[in-house]
Amino acid sequence: MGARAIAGYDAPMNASDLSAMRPEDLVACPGCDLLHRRRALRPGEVARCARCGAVLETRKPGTVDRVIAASLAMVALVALAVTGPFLTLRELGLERTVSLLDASAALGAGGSPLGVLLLLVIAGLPTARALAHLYVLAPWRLGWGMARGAAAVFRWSSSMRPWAMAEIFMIGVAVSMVKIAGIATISPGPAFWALGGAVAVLAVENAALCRETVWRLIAEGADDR
Amino acid sequence: MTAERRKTGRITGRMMGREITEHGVTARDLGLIGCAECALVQAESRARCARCGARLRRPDRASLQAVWALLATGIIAYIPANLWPMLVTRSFGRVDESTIIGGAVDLAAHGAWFIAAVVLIASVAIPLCKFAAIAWLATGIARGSVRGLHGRHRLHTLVELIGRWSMIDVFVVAVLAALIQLGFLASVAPGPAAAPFALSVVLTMLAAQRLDARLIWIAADGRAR
Repeated sequence: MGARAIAGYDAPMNASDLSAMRPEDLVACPGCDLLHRRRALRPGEVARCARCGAVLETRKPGTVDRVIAASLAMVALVALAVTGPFLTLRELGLERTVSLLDASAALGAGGSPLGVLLLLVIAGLPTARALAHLYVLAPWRLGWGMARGAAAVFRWSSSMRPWAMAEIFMIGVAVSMVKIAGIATISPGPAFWALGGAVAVLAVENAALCRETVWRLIAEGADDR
Repeated sequence: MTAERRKTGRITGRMMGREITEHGVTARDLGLIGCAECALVQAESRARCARCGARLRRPDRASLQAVWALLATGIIAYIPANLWPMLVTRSFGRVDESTIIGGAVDLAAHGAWFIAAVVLIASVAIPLCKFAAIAWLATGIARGSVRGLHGRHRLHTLVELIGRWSMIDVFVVAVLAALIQLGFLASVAPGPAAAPFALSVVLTMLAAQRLDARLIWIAADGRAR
């Protein structure tokens, strides 16, 4: 395993190799377009491109259950993070407690769209992506079949992945705390820990999510109807 | 020259009127295309993926125009982002405006070297390196360069991965402006640089996304259209 291309997942070399193959038997490298033969992966295996080394396919055991669990946790933690007290500042007897909504209002002062965008990238998109994963996977897991429009919903969720920035926000919070530490006392509130937890859950979800598995489920579900 | 030959691949045969290198066959060689979203291999003539419905993007040098447009706009937005103040502090009636670099210099002057370095790397080093990297990659593709393919592909992956972390400074401004509202004692407001800075990060993220890594390798195949 690891960074090496796995055995049997090699690139076909000539026409006779390929003539017997259907497109379903092939995987094109997303990085360099090289064709590879598809082979069933064992759980935990990673297939990489023989030329450029990009990941072709992974097989992660228990992806559906883990992603559902992580998504439920995500929705709850982000809800806590948005509504609860995030940070408290104390100085000379003055005390000020702020939530993420206050941070959004401060950035949006004077009608700047940045305020809304802040809430969107740290809370809105992570929640929406978690709900999208639940919409796609939960009905299937409960035996109700694949949800209507699951393909479009899952595609949207994948495309939004770089724009969900809760983890980057937490680094920004850490930098702010150090900046203020010299002039005032600052202490994290429950919402701080909730968002920190959400970032950890996101890491777990990203590690557990196997897109190939989900796409296969969606394609099979669509065939059933 | 021998080293380059080994990297780009010796020609080992012909198929369907095209030269096949020792590495194997690309999807494009066979009139196939791999879906960027769900990786399904299918006929190149399709407009949308048969499985997930995503628009199928053929590797096309014309897409570099969008990359250049997004990059140029991102660089233009980065200029006011650095010249205008990022943070406006009012303390005992005194107004103090600090730019991104000015704020980092202040931090370093107060001995917070590590945080100053984080801010400088995220807000200055990463964006500048990103501008240079995207421009260099786009130029290399346009010129049909076959040098350092692995390095250039890795650079593209790195730029896509790291670009979003530049948002840290915008988040720092949001947290500081929310927290430090102590009336006459001290108050902080976001400066006019916050919006162009965020815009610059978003535009260059889009530029990196639009840059198609497959074009790097197609040039090396020597069969670019």
